[in-house]
Amino acid sequence: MTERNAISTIGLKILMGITGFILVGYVSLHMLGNWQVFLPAVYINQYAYLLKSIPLVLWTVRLVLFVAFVVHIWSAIRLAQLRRSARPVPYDQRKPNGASWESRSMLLTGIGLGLFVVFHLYQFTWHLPPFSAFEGFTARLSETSRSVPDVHRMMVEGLRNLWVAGAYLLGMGCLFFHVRHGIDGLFSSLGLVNRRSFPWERWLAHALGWVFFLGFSIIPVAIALGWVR
Amino acid sequence: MRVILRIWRQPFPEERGGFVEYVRENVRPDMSFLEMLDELNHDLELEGKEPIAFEHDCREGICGSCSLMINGRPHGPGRATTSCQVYMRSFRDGEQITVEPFRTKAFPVIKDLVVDRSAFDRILQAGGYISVGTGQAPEANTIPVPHDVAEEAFDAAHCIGCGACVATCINSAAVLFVGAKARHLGLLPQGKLEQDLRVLRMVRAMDREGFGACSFTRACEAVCPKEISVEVISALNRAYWLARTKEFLGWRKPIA
Repeated sequence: MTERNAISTIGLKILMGITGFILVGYVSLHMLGNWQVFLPAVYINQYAYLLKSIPLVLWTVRLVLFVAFVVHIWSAIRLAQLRRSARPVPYDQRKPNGASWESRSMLLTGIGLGLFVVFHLYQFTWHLPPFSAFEGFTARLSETSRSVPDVHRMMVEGLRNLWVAGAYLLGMGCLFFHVRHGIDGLFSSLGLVNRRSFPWERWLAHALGWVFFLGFSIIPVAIALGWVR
Repeated sequence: MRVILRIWRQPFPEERGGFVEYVRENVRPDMSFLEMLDELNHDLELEGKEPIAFEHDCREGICGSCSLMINGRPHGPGRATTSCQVYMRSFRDGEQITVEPFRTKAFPVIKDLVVDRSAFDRILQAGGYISVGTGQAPEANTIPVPHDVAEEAFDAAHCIGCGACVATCINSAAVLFVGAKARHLGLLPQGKLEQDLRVLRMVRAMDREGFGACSFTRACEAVCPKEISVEVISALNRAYWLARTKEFLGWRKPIA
C-alpha cells in the first residue's frame, strides 16, 4: 500500500468521529423509544412491533450500526497500537496537565461500553439463558388482536434483578464519560470548531452525556423502585 | 533553600539510562532552574565528573531549545513558560524534583536530558514554508490582510517548536505543532495558495515520524509555553480532509 492510500492518523480520527456520530444518533433514538415504558404497556409493544415490521428497514439499520460499531472498534485498536508504539519508554513521573479523566480513559470506557452492548443484546435481543423466558412473553395489541412480543414485561422483569440493574447503571456510567469526551473530540476531528465555538461545543458534549446518563438510568431505577410494573 | 534532584542520566542513545539523585544546598530562590543546573554542573566538573547534558540557548523563553520534563510537566510548573523561565521559588524547600527528557519514539534521547527533535524539522521541510519569495519587510503591506486574520495567523506563529505538546500528549501526537504551522501559513494570502499541498505533505511527514493521533485531551494547550490554542488542531483536521477529498476525487494532482 502506498503512503497516499494508507489511512493517516487524522483519517483514523475522522473514521472514529463519523462512526461515533452514527452510534450517538442511534443511542438518542433508542433513549426516546425507551421512554415509552412509562406509558401503558401497549405503547412500547406497538412501537417494538413497528420497528421489526419492515425487515428491509430493520436489517438496513442493523447493518449500518454493525458496520459503524466494527469500524469504530477497528480504529480504536489501530489508535491504541499507535499510542503504544509512539512512546516505547514511559515517563517516571507524569501529570494529566489539564487533560480530563474521561479524555484519558476513552479506551477503558469504550471497552466497558462494548461489553455492556454485548450483554444488552445477549439479554434483550438473543434471549439466551438465563434470559430464555423472555422469548415466551407475548401481548395482544388492542386494535388488531395480533399477538406480539411483550417488550414492556420483558423490560420490567429483566431489570427488576438488582444485579442486572447495576450492570445497566455501570454501562450508562461508561456511556456518560465516553459521550462527554467523544462529542468533544468529534467536533475537533471533523474540524468543526474554533476558539469561539469551544464553549457551546463543550456545553453540548457535557449536556448530552448527562441527558443520556439520566435518560437511560431512570428506567432501571424506576423499575427497581416499583414505579413501572 | 534545599532541593533533591532526581535527574535522568544516559551517556549514549543505545545505553540504558537511569535516575541519579543530587542534593543541592543553598539554592537561591531567585535563581532560574537552568542556573541551578549550571551550578550543579560546575560542581560536577570540579569533582571530575561528567556534567549533565541539557539543551538551552536564548534563556529568555523564545527559542524553544530547552526541553525538560520537570515533575511530570513539560517545562515545569507555571503556565506559558519554558524550562529556562522557571525559577527556584516555584518549588518548596526540601522538595524532590524529578527531571526527565521529553519521551517519544520520534524524539530519541541523545544524552541525559537532550533529545533529537529533528523530526519537527523534517515535517517543516515537507511543507512548512512558502515557495515563492514574499519580499522584504515593506512588501508585507502590498497585499492587504484584515487585522483579525493577521492576529489569528500571528497567534499560531508564536509556536517555537519546543515539542512540549508531544511530550505531554498521551498519544505523543504532534498535531498542535503541525496545526500551528499550517494555520499560520494557511491564513495569509501568500501561504493560502499552497495550503492543500502543505497540509497533505506535513501530515504524511508527521505520520512517517511515528507521532500518534490526537485524542483531544487539551493537555498540549495547557503546557504550551506560547499558549497555542487547540483550535489549530481542528483547523488542521478540516484542511486535511478537504485536501484529501480533492486528491481522492482527482480534483488536484496527487502528492508524490
